[in-house]
Amino acid sequence: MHYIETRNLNKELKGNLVLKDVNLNLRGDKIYGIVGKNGSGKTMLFRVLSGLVRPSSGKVLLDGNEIHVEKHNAAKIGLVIENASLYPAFTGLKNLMLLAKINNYIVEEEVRDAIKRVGLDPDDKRVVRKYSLGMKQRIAIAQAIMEKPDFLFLDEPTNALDAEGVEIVRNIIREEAKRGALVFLASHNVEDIDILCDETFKMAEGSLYQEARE
Amino acid sequence: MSIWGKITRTISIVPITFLFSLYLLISDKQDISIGSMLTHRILGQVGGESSKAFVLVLSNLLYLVLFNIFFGNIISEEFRFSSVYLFSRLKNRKVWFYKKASEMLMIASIYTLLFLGSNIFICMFCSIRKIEINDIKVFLVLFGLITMILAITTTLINLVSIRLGSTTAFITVYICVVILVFISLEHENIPFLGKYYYTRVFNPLSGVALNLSENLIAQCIILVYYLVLITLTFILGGNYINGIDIALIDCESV
Repeated sequence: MHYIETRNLNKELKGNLVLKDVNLNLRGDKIYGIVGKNGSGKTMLFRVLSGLVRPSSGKVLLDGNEIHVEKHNAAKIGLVIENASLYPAFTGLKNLMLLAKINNYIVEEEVRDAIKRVGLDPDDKRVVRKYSLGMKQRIAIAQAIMEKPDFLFLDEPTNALDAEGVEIVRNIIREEAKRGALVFLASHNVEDIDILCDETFKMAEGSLYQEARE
Repeated sequence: MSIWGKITRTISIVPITFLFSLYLLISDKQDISIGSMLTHRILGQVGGESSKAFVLVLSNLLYLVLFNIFFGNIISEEFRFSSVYLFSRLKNRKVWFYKKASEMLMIASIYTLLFLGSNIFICMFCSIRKIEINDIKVFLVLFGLITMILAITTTLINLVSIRLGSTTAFITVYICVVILVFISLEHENIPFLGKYYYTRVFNPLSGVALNLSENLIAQCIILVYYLVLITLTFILGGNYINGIDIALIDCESV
């Protein structure tokens, strides 16, 4: 079972505290959700947990290993956040193969399986530049799940998806949690949070609160 | 950048060098050593007989400008696309940067070899003399000097590009190049520094090693200095990459 722990996590940008004393203790047998207004700090929290952004103070531990010290990442992480993009001149498959070659956890067949899981065709010759928003979102989710990550951080995973796409992504989230991944998702879609999450947090002005579930 | 893109850009220096030397190939042959001809094609010369020095001159820096244009984003382009997905997978950013920088150093070495090789071919065609051992020494020193300059300037352009964009990176680095070339040209007129010939050595854009043609040990020491400069640039670059925040949007950037 995987777990995440943060201790007194703070992040300051341009004199503003965007994360304030965030203390988390998540265990891998649940799907966790986080809600909050735009600019509340949800995406910044995911960036810190995934090793993209260094905290100003505090600790982040994934499965007991502290990150942002010697190494930025200590575990297999799947991440979908806003403002992320792939190489526009390459196909979806080529983009994901380039990413898969970084750690060599998987082979081409597994990359193709991930693309099929999100409802796309791995042999689609179109380059990412020509993808619709929904297709870009799906390929982003494919890159997040293809290496069977221990931790899955999903920021607005059902954005820009049609009804079929939403159902596909919800099923994927359930399957990943069942496989043993710790899933942490942020969404403005209340239905996603209600249907999927076992435990929910609320983010407001950089502070994290536990939300009571009825 | 694809492998074919890198190969095409690297070998393009060969036809470009010949294109800019066509007039020489139809001129009369000269009674000058190949090493001297090679040096004068790439560097300028300042000072009188007693204080002669070889320096880089801006008019002969096309090879540098081209390399910087071709490879000035080989590292920084990773930050424009896929940075989120790349850096959320990387365990160690420094190792990633060192690998990228080493690849760029290797490309710089091959590019320099092709550039100097083309120039040697032209010099052999234009000179009545044959290659001598001193010409090979000149070739090795020039190889070290040019590879070092290409590697350091291109690394700096890439690093500055990450935060400030390609245009600002080019302008910043080339302002530094112009200043260093100016200091090299005006070395003797600079208070304190000008009195000591060997302080030229600390200016990476002066070809001081070439003036030490009889002193092999001094030349080797200077080549080691170039290696130290490259290593230092890579170490500082690795520390910078290790510390930056990835994928902040514009309003969040410091």
